[in-house]
Amino acid sequence: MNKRILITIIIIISIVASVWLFLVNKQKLPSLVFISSVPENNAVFVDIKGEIVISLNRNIAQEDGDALKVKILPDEKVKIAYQGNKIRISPETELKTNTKYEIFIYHKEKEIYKMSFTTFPFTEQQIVEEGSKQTEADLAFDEKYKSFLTNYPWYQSLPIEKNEYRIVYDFEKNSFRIRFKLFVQEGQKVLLIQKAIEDLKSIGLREPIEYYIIDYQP
Amino acid sequence: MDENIKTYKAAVEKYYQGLKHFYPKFFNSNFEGFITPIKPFVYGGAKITRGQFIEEIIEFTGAKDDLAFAINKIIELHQLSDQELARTVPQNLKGLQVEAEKRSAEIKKTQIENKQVVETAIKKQQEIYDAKIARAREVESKLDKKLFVKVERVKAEATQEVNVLEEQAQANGPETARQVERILRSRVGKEIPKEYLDADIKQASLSITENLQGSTQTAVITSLARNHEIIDQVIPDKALADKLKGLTDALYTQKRSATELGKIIARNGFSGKFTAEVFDGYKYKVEFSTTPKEGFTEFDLGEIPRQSIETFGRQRSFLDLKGFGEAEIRSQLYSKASIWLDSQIAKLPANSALAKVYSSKLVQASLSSFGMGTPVDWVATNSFGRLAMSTGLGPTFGWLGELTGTGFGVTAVASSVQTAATATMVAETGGIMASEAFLGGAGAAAAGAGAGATVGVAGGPAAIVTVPLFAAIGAAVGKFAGKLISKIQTFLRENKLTELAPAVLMTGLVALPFGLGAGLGAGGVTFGGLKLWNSTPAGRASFGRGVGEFSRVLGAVALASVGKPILITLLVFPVVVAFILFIINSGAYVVPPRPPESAFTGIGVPVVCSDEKGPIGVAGPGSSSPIANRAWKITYDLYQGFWCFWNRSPGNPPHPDFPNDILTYPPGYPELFDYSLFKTNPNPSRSGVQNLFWCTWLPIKAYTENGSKIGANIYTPDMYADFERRGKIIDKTQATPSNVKPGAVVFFDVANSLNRLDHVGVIYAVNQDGVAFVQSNAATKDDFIPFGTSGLQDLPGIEVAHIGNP
Repeated sequence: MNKRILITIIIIISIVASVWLFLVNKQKLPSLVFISSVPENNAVFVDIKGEIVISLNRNIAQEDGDALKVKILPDEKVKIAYQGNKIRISPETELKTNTKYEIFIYHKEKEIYKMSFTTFPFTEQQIVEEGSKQTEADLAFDEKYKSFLTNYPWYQSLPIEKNEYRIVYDFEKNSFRIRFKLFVQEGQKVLLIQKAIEDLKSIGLREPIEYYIIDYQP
Repeated sequence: MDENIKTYKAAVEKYYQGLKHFYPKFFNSNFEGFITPIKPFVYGGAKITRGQFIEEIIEFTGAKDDLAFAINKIIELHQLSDQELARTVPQNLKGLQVEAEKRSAEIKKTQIENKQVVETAIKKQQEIYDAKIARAREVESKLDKKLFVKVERVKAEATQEVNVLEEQAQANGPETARQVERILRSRVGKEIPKEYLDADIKQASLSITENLQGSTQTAVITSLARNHEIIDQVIPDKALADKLKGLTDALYTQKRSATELGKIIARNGFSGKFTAEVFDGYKYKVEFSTTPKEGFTEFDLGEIPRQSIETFGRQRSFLDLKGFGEAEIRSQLYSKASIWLDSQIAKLPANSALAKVYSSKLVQASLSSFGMGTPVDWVATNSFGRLAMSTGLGPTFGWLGELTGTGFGVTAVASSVQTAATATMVAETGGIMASEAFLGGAGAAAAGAGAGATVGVAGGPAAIVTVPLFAAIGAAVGKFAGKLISKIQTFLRENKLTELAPAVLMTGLVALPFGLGAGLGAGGVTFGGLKLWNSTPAGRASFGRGVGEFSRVLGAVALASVGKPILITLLVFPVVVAFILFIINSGAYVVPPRPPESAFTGIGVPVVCSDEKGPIGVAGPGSSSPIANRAWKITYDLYQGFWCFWNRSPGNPPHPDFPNDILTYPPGYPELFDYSLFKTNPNPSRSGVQNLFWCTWLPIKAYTENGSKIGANIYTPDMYADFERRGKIIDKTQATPSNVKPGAVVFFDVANSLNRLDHVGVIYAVNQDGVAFVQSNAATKDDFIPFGTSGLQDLPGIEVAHIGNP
């Protein structure tokens, strides 16, 4: 055979083989599978300025990029970038506050992942306005609360829980309530009341201590 | 697609996702192999078939049909086309239903059987307590003679008593000492610096020796054991006198070995000079008299049976359990334990060695597996996981899964990864305890058997009879603690070892020998050792043994119900819990005084400022409400921020300005705090701060993270309006213990000119007498509101306006 013809045949075979191998390899790319996302599926309080990153099982090839589609509901203008095995979705403007968003990822028209998240519920303006009012309200509460604790310094030690009884303070009767948590004989009751009085003394009360008893109620 | 197929496909897909979560490598690389029956794949270093793989999982988990069913359905799903599915789905759905009904019937049957066994066990145990109390009363009535005793602590020479103790040390001390040291080191873990670890061990030895050698009452008991004629003099009833002799002998024997243990550890840990100065320099001179004399005090023998009666009474209170199902009883026991344990832990300084041990992953995971402490949230990721979660055993399986690397379909949301070293340690400890338990003949009742012979605490009936004697001497224990500690301080200072002082003083291991004894042998202590104890560690241990009789039966029920994983956990668990319980109860730890730094907010009284997490007065997390539990956890993690109110939630990693912050229950919310403002002005004006963990953030976070509805409203009146709109509001006058739910929001209105709701808290617990709530951005983390004649009462100056139920 002519040497030139032979070389030509070899070149053609090489080209055909290369094309065939290329096509075969192309077909062998494994399917894209979702691995993780930031934020996670069903996340709440998601930053309205934040980026959404979805990681897949392998690097995204050129042909994948053509076949990948990302949909976000409610509709927002977003920039989509593929980087390694990640799909980066960056909103062009801030997302809406307190809104549930759904994101769908399609590959070759087939849905490969769906997720949703809810954005942070407040705007900065809301936080400034509501937060200031709540700070004022919390401080108003604390003014009274500390005044209350000053007058009733032992109150933070209540209730006293024992196996046999519980002691609380009854503001209606201005008296301690000793409730028996189990049935006790009369003789034993006297001892337990003494014990309860000792408990109250141990948290700073002085005798005489006003109290009343509630017997065990199954 | 047919709706049935869709539902079915979604359900099976979840199974697949669950398995994939647990076997990510396997599923990512070998799924094709997995679903192809004839093609073996590599698992655990060997080629196995799908069937073998399934069998292995089933055998290990005991999941039986449930897991196999799930796996097979996954395989089928991936092999069938939609058309084929359409043909098979109705049949499969029916199969699922039949399976569910079958399982439901089996569970019901087991529950009834368990209920009967447990009821019998409780009845039997109550009879035992009655008999013991009756016998103790009889003894009490007969011990009418008084014994007077004089104890002098004098400088020691080489006394016979010390020599006897030395002999004991040679007999079995070193081996025991090594074992204790090893377990102690393992428990403390690698997070604690070595020097602190050493200090803990040394403190343990000091406390042990102090407990047993330094007690006047112990000296009396020792003398009684060696002078039986004294007992004959004061107790005419021969049988009774003999019994008391036996008791003193038993106590004396136990004391000797434990004393030696302490001395050995002390000598290893400290110099001979230290040991000589602190321990060996004194002896006790004990004199008895049957009549009052100058310098003599009464030694009330009658106290022994009285303590016994009280002890049995307290033990019996643990049987006050409602419901009688095995799971319910176990849950209640753990709940009792949990409440008690948490309340004790909350008293610890946050940076103490003990607090670190408690918050370590091992301890938390162990507690969590018993519903006692929930450092992580456990979620089910497959059908078996859901089964485990629904039975309340999810955390147990999750924990075991992490230890063994085996997926049970339950996983931690937050990180709870066990280190290899920890896992090895637990496995090792479990092995030791398993052998102890089985050698002791306790079998499944490692949960309750009293075989803690390791440090000389005798098991069996003899130990039970010594209970009152231990309890009787308990009142005197600790008398010398203050003196001893000051002596140690002096020694450390003089010998320039002050760096050890914090750990020495903050950690007390008085009860170590008893705690280990009880832990190794008596899981009952984890149920019962919880409430006994104002007295001694020994009393606590003995309580555990006493309750063991009950727990043994309960343990058997548990074993029959849930099998091997529970047994393993029960074996490992007691050591951890007993260790903590006994340490805390020792009363020997000293909270270092903190000079309070006052910050005046311009309102009311000064608030004490601190860079520590303040404790929550109500123990948790153990509520039936996930919302309440999350609220408790968030509050637990709060630090003081603006105005020294609890309004700063830490992050992980901590904020650079607060590197020592610890986040125990993630997630934290560092983004909800204005750190830059705080740095320049921690006490800004009311309108000057726009970002902190307001009171309303607490319900917003607790509700949202549990999937419960709540409007996004930072301002309290708006939050109230949201609850009202959804019909969830109860006026405070209508509030009752039955209609107020844990997790509810309580709305406050203070008496001032603003005339609006001001503040909220989240109700953590409800009982007949009131509600306990937790709160943020306030001067305290919690408080209590009592019920009155019509609903909830107001606090002076603060109206409790409404309740918003979840």
